[in-house]
Order: sequence, then C-alpha cells, then structure tokens
Amino acid sequence: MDIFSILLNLFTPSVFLVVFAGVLVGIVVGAIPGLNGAIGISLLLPLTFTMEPQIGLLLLGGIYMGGMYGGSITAILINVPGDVVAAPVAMEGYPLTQQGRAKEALYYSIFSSMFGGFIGVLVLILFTPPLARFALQFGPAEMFFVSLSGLIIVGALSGSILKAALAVLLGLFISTVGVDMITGSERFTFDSLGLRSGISVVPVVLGLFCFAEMFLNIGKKPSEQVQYRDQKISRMTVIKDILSQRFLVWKSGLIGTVVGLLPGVGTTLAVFMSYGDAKRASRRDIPFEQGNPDGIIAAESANNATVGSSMVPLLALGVPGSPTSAIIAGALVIHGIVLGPSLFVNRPDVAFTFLYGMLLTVVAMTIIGAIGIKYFSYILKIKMEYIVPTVLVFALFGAYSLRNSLFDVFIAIILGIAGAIFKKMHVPLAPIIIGVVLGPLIETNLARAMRIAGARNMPLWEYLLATPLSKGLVALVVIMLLVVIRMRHKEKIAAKEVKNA
Amino acid sequence: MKTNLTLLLSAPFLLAAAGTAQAQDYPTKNIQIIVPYSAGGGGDTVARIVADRLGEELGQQINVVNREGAGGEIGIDEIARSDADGYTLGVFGYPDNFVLEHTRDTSFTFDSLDYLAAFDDMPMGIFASPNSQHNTLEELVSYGQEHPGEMIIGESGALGLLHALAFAERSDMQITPIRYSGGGELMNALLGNHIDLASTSSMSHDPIVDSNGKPIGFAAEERMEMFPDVPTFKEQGLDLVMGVSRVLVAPAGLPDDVREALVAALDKISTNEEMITNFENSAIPYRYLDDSAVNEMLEKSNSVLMPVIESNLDQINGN
Amino acid sequence: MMLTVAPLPTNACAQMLSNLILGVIVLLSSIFFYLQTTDLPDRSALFPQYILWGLAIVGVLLIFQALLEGRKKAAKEELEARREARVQFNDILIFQVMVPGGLMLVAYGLLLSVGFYPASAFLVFTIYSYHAFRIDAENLNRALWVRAVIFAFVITLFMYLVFTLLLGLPAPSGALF
Repeated sequence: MDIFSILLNLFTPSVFLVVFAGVLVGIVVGAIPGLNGAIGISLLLPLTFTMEPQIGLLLLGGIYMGGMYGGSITAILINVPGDVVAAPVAMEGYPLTQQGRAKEALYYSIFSSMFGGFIGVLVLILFTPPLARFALQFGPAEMFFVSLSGLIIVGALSGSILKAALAVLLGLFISTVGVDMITGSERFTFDSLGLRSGISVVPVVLGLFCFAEMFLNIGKKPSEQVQYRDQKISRMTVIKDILSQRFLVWKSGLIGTVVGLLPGVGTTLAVFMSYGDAKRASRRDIPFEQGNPDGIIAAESANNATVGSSMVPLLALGVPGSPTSAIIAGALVIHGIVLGPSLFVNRPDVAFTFLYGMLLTVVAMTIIGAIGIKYFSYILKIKMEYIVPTVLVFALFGAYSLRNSLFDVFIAIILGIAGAIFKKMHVPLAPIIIGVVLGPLIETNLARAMRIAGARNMPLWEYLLATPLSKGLVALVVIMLLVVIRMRHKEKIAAKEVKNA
Repeated sequence: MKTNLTLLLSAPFLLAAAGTAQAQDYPTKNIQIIVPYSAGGGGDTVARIVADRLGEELGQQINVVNREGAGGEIGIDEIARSDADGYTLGVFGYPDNFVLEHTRDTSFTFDSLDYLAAFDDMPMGIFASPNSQHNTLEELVSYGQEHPGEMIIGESGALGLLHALAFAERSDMQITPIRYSGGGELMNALLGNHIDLASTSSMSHDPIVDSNGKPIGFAAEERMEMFPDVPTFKEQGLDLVMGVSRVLVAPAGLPDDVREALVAALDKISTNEEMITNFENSAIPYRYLDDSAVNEMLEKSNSVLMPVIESNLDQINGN
Repeated sequence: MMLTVAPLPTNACAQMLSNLILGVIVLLSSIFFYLQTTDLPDRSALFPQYILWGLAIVGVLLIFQALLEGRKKAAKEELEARREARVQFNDILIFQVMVPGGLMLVAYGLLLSVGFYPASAFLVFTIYSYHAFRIDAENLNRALWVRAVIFAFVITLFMYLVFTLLLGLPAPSGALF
C-alpha cells in the first residue's frame, strides 16, 4: 500500500468522526480539574478493542491532543489549570482575563496549540528513526543534567528568589516521601500506607492551584468578579501576532519536541522551559505574570508539541515515553501490532494512517477550539457562587480518579490549605510543582550514575562527563544559570528605576 | 412542593436500599477489577482482555481500576481488604504478592486472597545490550566471573530484582543491579547501552531484539513457542526457572454461590478463541489454569521461591 | 495578580512579620524531618538530607531578612499599618483558608464514611451558603437554603450521571453509594 492510498483512506467519514469525538473528549477531560488526557484514554481504551487498530489509535491520539489543549481553557478563564501542563498558561492568561481580554487569551492559546501540535506531529512523521536514536543517548548522566537545567528555570520566574528557593526545595522534599524507588526503604511515611505510595503531582497541582484559588474566591461579590466582555478581536489578528514574534512559536514548539522525546521527563519540564525562555526573549513591553501573551504562546505550543514527539520512541522502538503513550501502546498490542522498527514494514497501513491522522487531530482541535471559544468564555458570566462549589467537587473527584486513591484526595485538600496560605505569603506555587516533577529524576539518575561509576571503578564526575552529549548539557546548564542571573540583575535595576521615579 | 423535594432527594437512597435487598443472583451490579499497576503494562492488558470477556459472560459491566503504587503493594492490599462479595476482584502478576509479603511489612498474606484462575505463563529472561560483546550465556558468565561487580544489570519490579539476584547467584557471578521504575524505562536504558544486561519478562523480547538487543536466555522449563530461537537457561546448564503468571483473585471468604458462578464463568471463557487471539497478539503466552490447578501451581511455586528470597533477603533490602 | 476580597497587605511590615513566621516554621520542620532521616540507609537518606539542609538555610535567611527589615526604625503610621495588615491577614487566614479548608476536611470524612455523592452534595451546599454568608450575613434566608439544596442536588446528579453512569468511572464509595 503506498502512502497516497493511505492518505485517501484518511478522508472517510468514520475517521473524521472518530478524530473529532476523540479531540472533544480530550478537551472536556482536560478542562475538568484533575482529569487529564491519560484518564480519558484509559476510559475509552476498551472501546478500541473492537475497532480497526488505526481508527482506535486515532481516537486515543485525538484525546491526547485535545487533553493537552483543554487544560488551558479553565486556566485562562478562572485561574484553575485543569492539568499540570496548563499552570504557566494560568500565570499569563488569567491576568489577561482580568483585563477583559479573555477571548484574546483563548485565541492565543488555541492557535499556539495548533502550531505546536503541527510541529510535533510533523517531526514525528519526518524524523522518527533518527530522533529515537537520539533519545536513547540519554542515560543517567544526561538525564541528571537535563533535570538540573529544569531546576534553574525556577530562578527565571519572578518574585523573591529566597521564596522561590523555598518553594522548589519544598517540592523536591515532597517528592522524596514514600517508598524509595532505589532501595525500597520508607521515607517520611509515618507508617501510613497512603504515604507509602508517595505523593504524586496531580493532587499537588489540584491542591495548590485549584483548591487554594477557589478558597480565596469565596465571598467575592459579583461586582468584584471579572466581567464577561465580548471583545472585538479577529482570529487573524492573533495568528499574525503569534507569527510576528520572531521564532517564538517555532522555538517553543521545538523545545517541546526535544524535551518531549526524553522518557519520563514528561511535558511539565518542556512547558516551563519554553515559558522561561520566552520570558528571557520577549520583546513586548509587558512584564511576565501580568498578561504577556508570549507566555501563553510558549507554553501552549510546547505542550502540544510533546504529543507528537512522545510517540517517537513508542513507534520507533516500542518504548513508551510518557504515561499516556504507554496506554496507547497497550491499545496497540491487543491488536497484535508489534511496535518498533518493524512496524513500518509489517503494518505500514496502521503506522502511516496514524501518523498522518495525527495531523487531522490538530485540525480538529483547532476547529473545535476556534469555534468553541465564544461559548467557553460564557463561563465568565456565571456567578462565583456557582463556580466555586462546582469546581471544588469536580476537583475532589479528579483528585480521586488519577490513582483511584482516597489518600490523594486528602493530600490535595491539605495542600489546598497550604497553598492558600502560601499565596498570601507571596511564596510562588509553580516552583513547587517543578520540584515535585524533577525530584525523582534528579535523585534516581544521580543514584544510578553513582552506582554505575562505582561498578566501573571510575570517579563519579568522570562518568557524568563521559559523553559529548553530557558535556554539552553541562554547558547548557551553565549558560542557563548565567542567563537567569543576568535576567534577575536587569529586573533589579528596572525595579530600582521605578522606585526612584 | 416540599414533600416532593424530600421524595426526590431520598430517591437515590431508596434505590440503593432496594439494590442490596435483592442481591440474590450474582451479579446484579457492576464489578470492578483492581489492577495494582498503572495502565498500559502486561498485567493491565491481561485484566482488560479478561474483563471484556468475563463481563459479557456474566452480563454485567466490569470496570478495570488501576491502583498503582509501592511496587503493587497498595493495590494488592486494597484487593485483600475489599468486601468478599464478588464485586471486587483483582488481577496481578504472581509472585508479586508473595515477594512483597516476604520482603516487606505488608498487611496482606498469601492466604488473604482467593486465587480463582491464572491466564498466562511468562518466563523472565536476561537480555544483553546491542553493544555487548556477549551473545551467549557462557560468554557472559565467564566475563562476569572474571570481572566481579562490573557488569550492570537493570531490573524493575519485585520479581525483576529477585530474578537478577538469583541469576547472579546461580551462575557464581557478582553483578551490580540497578533499579528502574518500569519496563519502558528499563528497555530504554538497555537499548541505549547505558546498562549491560536487563532482567525482564519475555514480553519485552520483540522490541529489544528489533533494536539489536540480544536475548541471552529465558528462565523457562522449555523453549517458548513464541520464541523458538531463544534457549532456556536449563539447556545451557543453569538451573533457573522463574516467571510471572497473571492471576485473577478475589478477597478470601467469597460466598459459595458467588465463587461457583465466577469459576464457572471463567472456565467457560477460557476457551474463547477471540480472547486467546487477543492474548497471543499481545505477546502474552496464554495458559489457563482453573481454580484447583492454579492453587496447585502456586503452592509448588511458593516452595521454589521461598529459598531464593531467603538467601537474597539482605541484597533485596539493603541493595 | 491575585483577586481577593481584601486588598493585599503589600507594605513591607506585614511582609516582615509573615516572613519571620515562615522562616521559623521552615527551620523547625526541616530539623524535625532531618531527625527522621537518621535511621534510613545512607543511600536513601542522602537526597532528602541535602534538601532539608537547603530548607533549613532558606529558613535562617528568611529570619535574618525579616529581622534586618524590622530593625529599621518604624514610623508611627507604619506601626499602625502593620497592625492593620496583621488583622487583615488573620481575617483571611480564618475565613478564606481555615473555614473552607475545614469544610473540605469534613467532606473528606463524609467521603470515607458515606461515599462520594452525599459528600459532594454536602460540600456544594455548605460552600454555596458560606459564599453567600461571606458577602453578607443577611443573605442567609429561606430562599437561599432552598437554592443551595437545589443546586447541590443538581450538581451531584449531574456528576453521577456523567461520571458513574455514562463513563463508568469509579467514585469513592461508602456506606450509602
């Protein structure tokens, strides 16, 4: 079967139906706090058993793509990121909403998601084999340096550096709770079975971003609420503006693509990295965290770019790169499809239909998003008295659903209380999430590196710097550190000038 | 108006009460199967294939619920604690429960569960990295004995480590085990030549071999039908048989009629060709054992595993 | 960037006090958790110990920073502002954090004992009424209770229909559901 006839196969009603349905489900589960694409996919997994494999795959791929976007809607409108990856979008998008520019923020988000989605999928189509080989180069040493560079991003966020350090250390500490992966010993579990399984990132996000935000909204009078305003702004204006930011969307899409390739690192790091970089490079005269659209462009294009690239190791090697792609792998094997290099030889119909079909999921997402935005922003018309209780119970359910764990619900509530206090004390919340995500990566990879170095009788630093790639990554870490210091310095001077004037 | 509202509000409660009152013919409501791992792996796949068929056979929807955490301990604990009414079942890879029970302070024991059936028999195996100079067990062992502690073996899961340790012990080698959080991460490390060997189940065979990784041997009694080219350890002179078997369990103490209904349904679906095809497609070697056969198998296997666990307990805990 | 009922206590004095408290709490809890690590095998203890050292240092620096700020002679009106800010902060702490947090914990207790749906109805009802109460205590009248009950019922029913019946997602179950 040649590529042309495969492409023709894509243009059938059933494919369109499945892709649109998948994307829609994805957007909805993504927007509900606590639920995300992975949950949506595992829900609909049994449905795909009876479908043709490529159709079932596209259904799941659509959920994955839509889920990455959906989280940004609630993030922009009510400052509640539906998922971890939407946290930076909330930091820029919600201030825009407060300025009455919700519609514009939503346009930025959907069209950046579109560009990011296309970049990721095109990379998947064009460069899967070489990129898969590249991803394999990342061993313990390389992963350690990548995670370190993620920590440095924290310095680029605004606010007191001391409190940012406090937040990131707190996040790292939270990540050490539970049965230690390397030795199996229990840390800070106080004999609780719940704590043994550790504290995962979703309840932390729900607590810090969703519960805390809702608590502080209680008692807000309708007049204090952000008012719904039908903004006169055309889609083309926003698209043109996205493209006129030199390289921004392409660079962010590429950061998402490359970081998304790395197994286990996940989308969170990619999103914060491109957000931090956008802050460095932004040419707009608007401070970050006060509604700079560049932050939305960077974060949204990066997270949708990871959808395509996290499938690269899956399709090329049969090694899933993210929890979501692991579930998609599960759906494939049931159909007897062996993932890995032989996939493109044995089942080109499945492989190519899926690859090119993923482009359709981006199209579907864009159409649903661009049309739906008008209706999404009606959320702003709803009074706070209805929003707060509704978001709280949905998040309560979401906290449970991730691992079907009551303990996670408890953790989310406790962190909600803590998060509201932190907010009042000006302790930034995003670094906590970065710490929780990166903690296990830093610890396990360093531990592995120490053990391998020990077994090979070489000093640790020699093992860490053994490959050209790891040397390059060290350079990256150093450069990032310098850039962050310079950014901080500039901000300080700017702040002084404001004070003097 | 007020009375109507009260009635409306209490309706769900009344319905729920009615539901419990007539729980005569099992099953009358949805059943859930707890899987103590995250979605997407081998154990999860088995659970979903079986849930699909079993649900059809029993005429009720069966939901698969993933309760991962602490190497399976959280989920297995939850299965053992559930009400023994037949509405909560579990699927996991034996001997995870047995290894956990004897290496950690778990609140469940082997007898907290009622083993109703086993669906597969998947041996563990050792694979070498693509860049490795060793293609056979013999080459590998002689190198390992000359360079004690230098060879690095990746493993994941309770059984992965046990298998790696037993492999080293029986072949008189000292090797350095390194822990990975899941099969995917482990494969990545092996294929990227960051580790020398991997201790994982035969399910990983295809992706590893496709990327030029080398299968050294399987810890099976005899060669597998699926992979006739891979030798067993036994035929290479190493006495090591160890594998995973996905079992379907219920909390101990099921009412007799419920247990009978479940066992009969399981026996009935065990020959369903579509289900068997699903297993084979997923590279899971299908082997059905009914409730008496599975208990016999488990008892035998426990007595083989116990000494291995005991002699490696220090390494497992202190590793 | 934050929208809250009360304006933020932005003056340096209120910050100073809260930084001092924060610093002390961080320092004390890092010492507490550090003591927990001493029984662990070295390889498990290493990473958390580094983090806790870091936290302790941050705690000390926060205390120092706060004390340095505090030593600057405070003008009279600043003292006044400080007191006002403190009152405001306590107000937020009690009414915006402790009360809703407490309600969530009660809902969690209900979740454990009677199941998700009764707990969800309870939570919607109480948060809805509490919201009205915070705007104006006069709001608590019969009409509001009725609205709260109906709203709680509708939301709970909606979640039941979508999550349990349509999607078959498992909800935490208790004695009743």
